[in-house]
Amino acid sequence: MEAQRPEALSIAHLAKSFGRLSVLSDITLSVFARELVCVLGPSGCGKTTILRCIAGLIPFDSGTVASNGRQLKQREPREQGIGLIFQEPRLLPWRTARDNVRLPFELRGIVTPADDEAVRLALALVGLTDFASSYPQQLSGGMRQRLALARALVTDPRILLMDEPLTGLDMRTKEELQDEIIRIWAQKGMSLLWVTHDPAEAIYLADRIIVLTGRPTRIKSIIIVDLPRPRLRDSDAVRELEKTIRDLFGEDTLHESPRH
Amino acid sequence: MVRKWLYPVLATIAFWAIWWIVASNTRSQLFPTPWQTLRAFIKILSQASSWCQIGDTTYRVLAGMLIGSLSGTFLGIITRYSRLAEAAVQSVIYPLLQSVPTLCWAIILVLWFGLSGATPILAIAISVAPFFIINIWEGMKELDENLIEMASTYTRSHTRMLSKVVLPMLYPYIFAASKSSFMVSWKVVILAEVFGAVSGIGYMLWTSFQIYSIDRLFAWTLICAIILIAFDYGVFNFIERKYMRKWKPSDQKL
Repeated sequence: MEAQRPEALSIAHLAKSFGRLSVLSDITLSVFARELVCVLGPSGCGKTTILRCIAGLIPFDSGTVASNGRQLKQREPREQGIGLIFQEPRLLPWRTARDNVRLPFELRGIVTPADDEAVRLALALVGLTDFASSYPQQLSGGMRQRLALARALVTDPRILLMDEPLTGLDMRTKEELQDEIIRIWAQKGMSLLWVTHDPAEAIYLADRIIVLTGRPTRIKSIIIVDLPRPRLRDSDAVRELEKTIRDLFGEDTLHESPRH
Repeated sequence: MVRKWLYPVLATIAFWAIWWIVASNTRSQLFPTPWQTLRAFIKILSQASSWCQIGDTTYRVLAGMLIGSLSGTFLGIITRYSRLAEAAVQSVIYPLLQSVPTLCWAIILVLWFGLSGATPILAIAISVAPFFIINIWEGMKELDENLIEMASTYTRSHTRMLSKVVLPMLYPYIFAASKSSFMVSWKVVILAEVFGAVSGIGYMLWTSFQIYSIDRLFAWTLICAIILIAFDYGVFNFIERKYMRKWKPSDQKL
């Protein structure tokens, strides 16, 4: 069935090295329309580098990145509807929540009344309507990441790239936001490429998990998570998947390294 | 709360008292008492022409600040974008502006522009520009590259990146430069007006001196001090309290 769905994003033979250090080698993966794909790998394995290549932030050495069948150029802002959420919210502290969400429009040029309406809707979508006039430092960690989400959603991207956006949040906030993002993803019919080092998170979220292995990073395995949503955070099926993933890595490599 | 007001008031009273005691014991034409000064002060302020002089000086300070801040900010920022500009500003323009005494600039400007308003304005601009250059450099060392990277996913326009993201990050530094260079501007404008202009507070000080009207000289000095303090408290402290707070806790951690 998946073979018939259009590919929202396809990456072929992507390679990238920093100086003599080869970080990515021959990464080929695709994300179908309305699919949620998690990229799972140990920290420091180059997951972020993949996203940064796709988002046009850094050049890559070889390979191709295509979105909806159109090949994307290296190093340029992705106007074709690709949004990126960073690990940190990266909000402008001198702007209110509303003006932070408005920023993408201002950076692209003239802001129309329709854009302002989109800002209002994006804030409503992440539940921050009442905080539109607050400054980032007045918001909690979870709310700041919601705000970053609203900023990424406001331009209505078809593909959203997530670079471990929930790292550093407490467990409750993290789970809340996972559910929230799944709700928005389903509602908007986007494709999501979500990078994480947490197998439990990947199993809870993903339609498909792409398991990476370290340096230079290659794709080790692709696991299809065929569990209905809303999912349970703990069940026999979840535990079994988690075991499969841990076996792929060997028990300890997936843990966050202490320097994080 | 009471003490917060009490001590400054006591200190001010003490200042006037000491002045009065010293001046009345000196009994010299060259050292007017607070009363004589105050009388001259009121007399000066009751004349419409005095307000024109005050207006002239204020205008020169603001115009000089404007030119100096814009060019200083510009010179500071282009060093980020061009190697050549960086070399020019770092090894020629900045040292030149910084090391040549203001008086030398003022003399040269009088030679070039004569006794006109341009002399004090340009003297101020030259004196304050280095404040802006150095503060912008400080600010650029602290730029949050994460925010710039985030913004670069939306645009490749340097102008919009500068105006929406980079420049706002530098506002606290531009503000700090404005605040400290404003004090300098007042000192420079008086100096430049003394021998480089035919109007303004500095010129009035000079004429008071020439006709030996020492109470007027004291009164004009008092006017200078009052304007400076009023700007510092009224304008800069107000802006700091009202607008600069938002910048301070730039805590972007989760």
